[in-house]
Amino acid sequence: MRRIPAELSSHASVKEGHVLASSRTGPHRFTLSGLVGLSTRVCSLLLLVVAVSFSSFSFAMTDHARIRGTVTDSSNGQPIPYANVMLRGTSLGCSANSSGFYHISSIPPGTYVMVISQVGYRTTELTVTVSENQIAQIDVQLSATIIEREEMLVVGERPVRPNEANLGLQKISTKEIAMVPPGVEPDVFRALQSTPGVATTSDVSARYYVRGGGSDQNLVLLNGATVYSPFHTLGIFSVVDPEMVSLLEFYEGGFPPLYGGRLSSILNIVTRDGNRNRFQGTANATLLAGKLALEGPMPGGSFLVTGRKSWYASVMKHYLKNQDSPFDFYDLSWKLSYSNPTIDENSRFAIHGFLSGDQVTNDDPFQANYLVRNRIIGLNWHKIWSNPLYSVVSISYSGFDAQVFPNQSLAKPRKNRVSDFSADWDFTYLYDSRDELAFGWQNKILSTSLELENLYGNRLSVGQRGVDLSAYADYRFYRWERIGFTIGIRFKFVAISEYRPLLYELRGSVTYRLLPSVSIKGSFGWYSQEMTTLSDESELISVFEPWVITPGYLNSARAAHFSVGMSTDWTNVLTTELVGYFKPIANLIDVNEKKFTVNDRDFVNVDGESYGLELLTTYQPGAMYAKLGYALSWAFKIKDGVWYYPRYDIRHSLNALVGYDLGSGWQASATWTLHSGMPFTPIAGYYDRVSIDPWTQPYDRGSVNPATLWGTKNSARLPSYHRLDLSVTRQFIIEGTRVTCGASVINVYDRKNIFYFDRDTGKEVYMLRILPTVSLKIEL
Amino acid sequence: MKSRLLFLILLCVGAYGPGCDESFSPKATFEDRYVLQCFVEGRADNSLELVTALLAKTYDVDGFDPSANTNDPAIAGAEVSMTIDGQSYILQEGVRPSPESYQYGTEQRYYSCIAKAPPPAAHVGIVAKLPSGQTLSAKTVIPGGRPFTSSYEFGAGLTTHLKLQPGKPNWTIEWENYNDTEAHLFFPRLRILYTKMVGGEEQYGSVPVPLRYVSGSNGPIPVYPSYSTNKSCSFEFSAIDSAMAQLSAGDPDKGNYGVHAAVLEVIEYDLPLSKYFSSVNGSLDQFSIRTDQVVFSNVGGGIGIMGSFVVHRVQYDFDARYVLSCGYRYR
Repeated sequence: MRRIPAELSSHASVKEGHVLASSRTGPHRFTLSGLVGLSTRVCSLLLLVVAVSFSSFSFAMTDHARIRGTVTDSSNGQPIPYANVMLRGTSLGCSANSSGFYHISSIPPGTYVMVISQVGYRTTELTVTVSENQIAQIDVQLSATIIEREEMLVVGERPVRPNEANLGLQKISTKEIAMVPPGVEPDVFRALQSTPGVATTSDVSARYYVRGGGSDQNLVLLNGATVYSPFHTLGIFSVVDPEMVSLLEFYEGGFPPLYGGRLSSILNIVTRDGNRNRFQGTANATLLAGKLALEGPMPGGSFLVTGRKSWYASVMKHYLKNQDSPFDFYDLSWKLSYSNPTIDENSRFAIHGFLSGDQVTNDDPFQANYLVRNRIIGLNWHKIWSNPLYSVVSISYSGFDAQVFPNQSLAKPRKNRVSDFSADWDFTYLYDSRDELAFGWQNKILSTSLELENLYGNRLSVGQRGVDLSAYADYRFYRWERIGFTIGIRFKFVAISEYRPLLYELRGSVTYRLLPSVSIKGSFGWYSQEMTTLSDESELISVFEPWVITPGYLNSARAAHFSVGMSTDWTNVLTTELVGYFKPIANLIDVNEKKFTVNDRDFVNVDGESYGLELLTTYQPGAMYAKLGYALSWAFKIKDGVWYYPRYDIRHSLNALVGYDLGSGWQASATWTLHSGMPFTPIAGYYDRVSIDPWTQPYDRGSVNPATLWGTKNSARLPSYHRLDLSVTRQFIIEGTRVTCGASVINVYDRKNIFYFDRDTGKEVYMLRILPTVSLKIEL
Repeated sequence: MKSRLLFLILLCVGAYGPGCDESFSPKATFEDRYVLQCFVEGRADNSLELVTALLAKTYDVDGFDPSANTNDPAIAGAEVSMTIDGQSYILQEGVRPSPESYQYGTEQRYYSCIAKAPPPAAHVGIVAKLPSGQTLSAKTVIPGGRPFTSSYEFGAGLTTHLKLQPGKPNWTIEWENYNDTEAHLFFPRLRILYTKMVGGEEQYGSVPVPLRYVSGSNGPIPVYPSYSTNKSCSFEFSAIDSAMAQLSAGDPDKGNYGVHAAVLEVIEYDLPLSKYFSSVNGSLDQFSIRTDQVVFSNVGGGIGIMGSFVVHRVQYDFDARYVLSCGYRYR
């Protein structure tokens, strides 16, 4: 295999072609025999998928050639996800996958100009000649655009597969993350919040709620491993350091069968490989934390280590009820990437690890201490088989610990532990017809333990174990120019929870190109969730949110997603997407507000429903990047037949993000958010409550204390919320060292957005007021 | 140029934000509700007891300080009756001197009657017919009796001067658990009773005994018992010593004090009161913020609580040698 530095060569040579016959067994191997006892409807669908696979196989019998390879960054050798690769003058082309792998099939023999483009990189053209039955391996290196005005944000080509059925998928670039004014600490999750359909309940939490779902209904994957507590310090910001992110895929709904286990959304984070060409170090300082990143080549690959440690807990006083909180946090991420052509030129391995911890250690014995930790270690094996088959094996362990040490406070001891061993094998088979078949199986061995003592001294210790064995198939019809659709199914052979959810989950999506620049899209899917956090929605900030397998006395949650939409590429720089959705949810796990004794259940099943309309427009002319999102949505919970709005029900939401490259290393960005107020439970009056003091007299002596009479749950709304954040960075080189200085102002015009009102005094407690911050980044 | 213009427009829109302030009140339409509160003490000896009940309305105030309310919300003219194991009592309307913190004046309106204290397991009900025609009602069952067991048998009386038995570093008192009352709350309290000579007269006093002391930045801090469904409480012997010293703290004339016994009282609350205290005394940690709260009520037709409790009492006489070793008189 030869790498072709694109900036050096405009005429590429190709690798000797492989004989295609050896690859044809791929689809034959995929059978779902043995699935006895399933409903006729499901079996029919399976037969359809298999039949389509066979029919597609006939396309593979042609004499056409294929081109495949990997797109990487010339400066550091890292894969570039989602680069567009197309053959000029034809309709042939594809997008690289998240690992930078691309594959173009059904190419008639001949000579073509292959155009490779991606945002932030110089578009590259290569001349390629292919002959019959040839598989041409062309690995392409793209060079990043020089930091010059008008070039910083090079616009990518239009999608080469406009019929791709991907409604609900947002691919958030690292450039976009960098564009969001960082606040006290740059945050991956803040970038999500500018996406319509994603709601937050406060400035002081990065927790997000997607299309009316709870925050524990969002799956966060880090290199394929589940992150159970993706937030630092009560949810103020995420544990994922933006410095280590290569790719962020965010499914707001209608996600494909590849993903399961959550009801609302998937956030798939892939960390960078280290620099394969040279050693590099980065130091970064904000008011809150210091960061270090080291990366460089190693035999056969590269390494990357990033670490972050808090150093200035006083900043927390802006966020927390307790202003002297001795909070401390850290996170450490590492990744070793390895590939050895002499062993297997088409394999790439990555071993990755992640540690994060948060702790509160009080000197005062009457204050509780807290500890939250994540531990992840995993292996990813990417393999391009000799036939057009791409596979990824992911094996990982993800551990989560949370503990409350009450000391002599009124808090009670609590301890939660999650151990998650996962082994996934995911395949994508690429047909000459341009269809794709994704299939695989995913296995999870889970154990959770929860020990707690309630307010009155009763100890509860629950240990649960479960095995999840799921398999999926997803056939993607991309053979037609104007229409693309996917149909898939996810089977759950073995479920974790006692009252298992759906045996199978159907998923599908469709895209129809009404006009060359206008597509109508739709998607549907069934989803289930067997793990939940035991959290109380009425707690705005909660320290301890344990994960448990759905308790045996409750049904596991399930949901359906239905969405339709339209996307329009008005010009190369202006796109719009309009989506409407409907999401019924059953068996959510909710805190039993009427638990007054130990004999009462802690949790109850409730139902829910949400629907809405979302509009997203992006505009990327030259040095500017602009994104405007609007969402109109309704979310409900239904408990004991009573419908009410959960706290994250936000009727109108508008987010605007603008980034501008001012030239000479200067960059400026601004975000403005406006949304209608969140629901809250209002005061309906007061009454005098008899005051009893067991130390003096346990009976009525006439002493009374006023108490609040609460109105209907969440029947009122806070005032609307709006906030403008600004950020300016200046990058310059000092003796070969790249230095970036940044200054941000949160809530520029000091809007008094109400966080909550004190239930005892009625006093308004505001979210973040105006807050200037600075940052410094040094890259060696 | 267009890009810069857009950027500027966004800034201007954002800067306009401060002009969008809107009025806000966390109050909903006032809900006119009736409140009944009644606590009944159960006793096994069937002695007479003054049973009281408070009837009131909800109210509203300008602002958010309910203590600013000056209009007494108590309801006059109601007909209130109580049944104790089938026997009916009429609670008469009256006034009594109000406690110091009472915000509506020097008298407090209440309903009361003298009744035979209900024994354990007795069924008690209350009905209040309001002048408006509305009826409030509630009922409960008196909690049962509880024999105590002590982890140490003090032959000559309670003392901390003893040889500790293996696995028993503290003095633990347990009481029996009945299956039907697993959810009952208990509040244990241990007090040392003493007398003090003041001006030739003997005055009675008591000092509470903590479970233990913990070290704090300003010295040891006592930890006292609290509500719990636990069927035991455990006192460190050193805590008894400290409490013993505390009763004459600052007074060099130890011989002025007479000590004879400690009294353990365990207040057992019935199911409605246990639920009620669970809902109103729920304490959050130092960071969590909760915005609303469901308060338990067993009053039909309104809100409030009607519940019962029993005080289980046992006296532990001190070992005279221990009292004398502390410098006190034994009496």
